[in-house]
Amino acid sequence: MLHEKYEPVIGLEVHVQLQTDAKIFSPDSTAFGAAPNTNVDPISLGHPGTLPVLNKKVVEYTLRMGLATHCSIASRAVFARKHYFYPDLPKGYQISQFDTPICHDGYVEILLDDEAVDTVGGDGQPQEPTKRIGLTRIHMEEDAGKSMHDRDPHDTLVDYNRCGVPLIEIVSEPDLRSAHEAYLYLQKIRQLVRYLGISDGNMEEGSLRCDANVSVRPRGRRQLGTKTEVKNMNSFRNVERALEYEIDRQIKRRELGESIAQETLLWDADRGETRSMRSKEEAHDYRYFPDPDLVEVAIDESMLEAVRSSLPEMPDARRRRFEEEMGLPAYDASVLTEERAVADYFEQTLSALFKRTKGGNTQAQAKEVSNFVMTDVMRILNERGIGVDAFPITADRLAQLVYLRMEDKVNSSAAQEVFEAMLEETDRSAGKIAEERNLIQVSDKGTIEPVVNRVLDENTEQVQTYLDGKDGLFGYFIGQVMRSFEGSPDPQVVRELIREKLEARREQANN
Amino acid sequence: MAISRDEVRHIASLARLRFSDDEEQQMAEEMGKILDYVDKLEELDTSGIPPMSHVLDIHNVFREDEVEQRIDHEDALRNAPDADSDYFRVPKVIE
Repeated sequence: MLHEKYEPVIGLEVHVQLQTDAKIFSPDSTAFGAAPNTNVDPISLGHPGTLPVLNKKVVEYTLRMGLATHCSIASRAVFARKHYFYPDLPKGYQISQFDTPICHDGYVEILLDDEAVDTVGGDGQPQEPTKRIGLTRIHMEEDAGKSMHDRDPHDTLVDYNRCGVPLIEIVSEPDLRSAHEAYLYLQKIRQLVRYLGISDGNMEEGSLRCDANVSVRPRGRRQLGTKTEVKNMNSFRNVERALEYEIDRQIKRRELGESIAQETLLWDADRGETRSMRSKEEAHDYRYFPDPDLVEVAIDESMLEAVRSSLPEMPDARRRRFEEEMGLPAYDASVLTEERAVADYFEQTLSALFKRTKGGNTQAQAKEVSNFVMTDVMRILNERGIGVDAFPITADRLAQLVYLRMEDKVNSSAAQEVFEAMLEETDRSAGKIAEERNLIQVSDKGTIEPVVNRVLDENTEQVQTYLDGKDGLFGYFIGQVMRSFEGSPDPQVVRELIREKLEARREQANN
Repeated sequence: MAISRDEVRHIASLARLRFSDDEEQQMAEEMGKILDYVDKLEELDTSGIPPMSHVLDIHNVFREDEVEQRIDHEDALRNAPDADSDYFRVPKVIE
């Protein structure tokens, strides 16, 4: 296999839109989806004589990400002008950071799944399930506007609503070794920014964007191959597809003895291939220099401490806690902590359940809540395409249902029915719904016994056949009792009673 | 430090400027003089001194994250050389 002969080397540059209300250097709104050129300001339009002033929240949000990814934080951060001419950038330069990024030298840990583990090394050694991906830097910058080339035969149309929306650029070390690892890394970045509440991480809407530097080299060689830069991958799936394609393309060229040009490629999702941008290969000359309109950002310990104390529990720590303290299986812990809101909902449900159970087997309770959240709740979230914040059953009410189930007040099919009803009847408790529908399980022998007696009396022929050795009829009696009962008898109790009564009749017949 | 005419043309093109032959010559001379002056400054020993990014010795000038609409859509498009009811219009550019 050619892919075993070569090793891909990938680094990602990820741009994340920060979800501030106002832009990075001006007070116009960052709201997505406004009518064209309505969220604008003399500063974001680059009018002469205007002066940018930095939005404090941008610094806080960037520091959140820096601390969450174990970065070193610069004591002073400087903004620089990056010059290039393009109509989506009215000033003729982008305000970015150059040689003093606010955060540098950090890392994130990705959790390798089976697919990724298979793609790492073929030396037969068991692989660590996690892999550390280095971060070179995180810096702050402003977004550009949006230009549309295909709306009009002669002109390019420009919308400056996005111009000046705050971005952080996260640059990884070339530590990724497969398209799938790149995918996992990007998922991790998305998870982190969502946990931190600094971005919605929505790739389709462009709040998360990704460019990749890709090269391949023969396995075991240190020296890197010529790299290409792949752009225009606008979904998680596309990132993986584009990188797979590009890695494959480079390997094939190497095998044919052809060279790989250092160039920028665009991913064409419809055709499933990367294409050269064919721009003039005039090397970009951005002429960076410190922006004289902005003063330095000095980050002191008190600022850092304020940000540090505002950080939520991060997903990896939370996943480990779910496993270690609650005894959840690794899979459950990982699914439940994928989204902060889901993990919050799970924990709220569990603590509401604890209030009812007042102790007992807390691990069994955690697992029961996990089952409800992972299967029933998540199924509805997927079907309806909603987040858990819009889910109609509050954590308290779900805990009522889990409690009914754990106390065997309802059986599992009744629990399902109550769950479905709770989705619609949002003002009633699980217990009330179960009662009204006669779903509360009756375990009291005294209530079930007369029904069992009646059924056996009404089926003397079947009882006789059973006693003659046709054991298969046992199920028939259970069915008859369940059907004749007003409500939901506990099948376990029904089973026991029928067995008891039948044995009594056998003895009677023998005597 | 001499600046060549080619260097002047390169820098001019980056800035989207075009000069006549005479202007190019003049630019080359003047830019050379500026660089000579910078060379003079480099005679000073600045090792151990952090680079200065701003002439004012102030830092952390922030605005709060508050939205204010200071101009509306019509104002925004008023100064545009070309626009329609929604967009700024520029000559077609495709990189």
